[in-house]
Amino acid sequence: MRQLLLAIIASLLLGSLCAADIVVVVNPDSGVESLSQDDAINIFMGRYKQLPSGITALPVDLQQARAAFYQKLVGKTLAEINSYWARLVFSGQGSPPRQLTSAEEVIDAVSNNRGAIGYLDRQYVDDRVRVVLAFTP
Amino acid sequence: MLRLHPCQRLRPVLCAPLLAMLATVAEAQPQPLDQRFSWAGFGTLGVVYNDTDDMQFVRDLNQPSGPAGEWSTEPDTLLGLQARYRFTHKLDATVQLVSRYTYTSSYAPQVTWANLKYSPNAGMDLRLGRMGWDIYMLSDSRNVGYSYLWVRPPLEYFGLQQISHIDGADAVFRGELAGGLAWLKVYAGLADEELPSLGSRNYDLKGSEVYGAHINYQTRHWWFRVGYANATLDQELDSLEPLLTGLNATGLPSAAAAADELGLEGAEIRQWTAGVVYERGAFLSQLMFDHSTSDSLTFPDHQSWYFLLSYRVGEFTPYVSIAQTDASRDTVDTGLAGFAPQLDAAAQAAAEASLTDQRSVAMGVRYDFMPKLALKLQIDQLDAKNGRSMLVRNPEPDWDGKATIFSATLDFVF
Repeated sequence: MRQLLLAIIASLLLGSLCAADIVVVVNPDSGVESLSQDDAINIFMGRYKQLPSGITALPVDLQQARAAFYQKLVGKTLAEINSYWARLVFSGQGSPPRQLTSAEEVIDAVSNNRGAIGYLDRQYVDDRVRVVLAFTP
Repeated sequence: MLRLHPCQRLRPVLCAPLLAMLATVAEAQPQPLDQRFSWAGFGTLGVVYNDTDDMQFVRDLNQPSGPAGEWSTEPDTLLGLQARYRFTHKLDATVQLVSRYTYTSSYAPQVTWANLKYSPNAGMDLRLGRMGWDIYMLSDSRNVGYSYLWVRPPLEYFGLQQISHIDGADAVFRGELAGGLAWLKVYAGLADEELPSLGSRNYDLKGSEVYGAHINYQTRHWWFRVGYANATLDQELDSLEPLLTGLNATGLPSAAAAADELGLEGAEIRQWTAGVVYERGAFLSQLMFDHSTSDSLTFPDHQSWYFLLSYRVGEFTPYVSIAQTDASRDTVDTGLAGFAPQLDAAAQAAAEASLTDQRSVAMGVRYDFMPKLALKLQIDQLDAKNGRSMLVRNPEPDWDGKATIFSATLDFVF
């Protein structure tokens, strides 16, 4: 019993250490200082593609962080996110964010486009982008 | 990473090539954002077993026939392809083709979409061309099995919707409101489809005028919608013509009035709908209502609703769903009972023919075992009062109205 308890505590600790500290970033010239989770849901789920400053939002996904990001954003698995987008795409309501394959690509896309918005692990953030939303790990 | 799943171990010969193909499309590289042309597809491979010989099971009223006391792949198997061309960030064109078993008694592909979409800003979308009829929540994606939990949308609710697309225009206006998102959609157009009709030429919906609107409000966990839709049928049902001619030929005002009440030509159908969806993490629930009135006894007034409840456990999502429709009974007074009882009886029979009081309870599970590929198993218990239903094909006079439907599907998108 005690061993089991230790094992659980150890795995929880390990889990939180390994869990990605994902942050949402925008272009420093976007006019956005911070973003609510509801705004982020509207933008990344294709419901309302506009930043609070009024410019059109251009969301991008980071392929390897998608599962963790959408779990934190809306509590859904990738299968559920794919299923959700299937409905929107095939009823003509839009297309999912473009999928990028590295944190560097996310920073490039966001720093080169005023309306772009992406997410990545906090450790890759630099002054070319601005953090507007963080999820408590 | 690709895991070996049970199907691969059990039936390598049958499944391996298919899965290899699907895996290839599922793992396809993402498309760059600045691409002008893009395409995507969806499909379902399905088998259905209907345990009664007394009626043919169909997915919706567009299908002319279905399995009775046997297995069939016809009701649910389909393939859809969509191509999109982006002219600018604000203007794009979409075409969608769907091949499924419909009123042509074949899988001949139909153009279900062909429209231009103009989005001047995040708060507005305007479309012109052919588009899905968005009468209920989820109704314009009802062929996309991968996008929902059931094997097929509940018959008693979605099955009564006879028009799947319109040629016309729609507009969406949206904005943030009190921490949520509110939007209004309005649309108008003409139908262009046919409905199989027992023992006569297909009923032609072509030229029927459709318009409607709905308002929506969505928050993180809730989505509410209220809508109204109106359809005015343009043509008469062939199999009704002899009866209508007979009634009018009597010269009796009451018989002519009865003919008018029974006929479909010019009849207006009005549908009020309301729906609510609640989603929180692994929990999902949907409840929808429809109150429908019409000018024709051949498409009787009715109320329909359904309720869906599900909870995801890992890659499995078990669900239960109840759907019901009840028709309002209206007798037709021909004034002929005394001297032309046969004609009167035919009129009464016509008024009764479409009355449907039916309920289905469905239980099933969706298994998301690979990216963009899901396996679903479902059992439906169907109960049609008095064995009378316009939601099934060719019900025998002695059918007790009960049936058990077993379904299995593989749903995918690419």
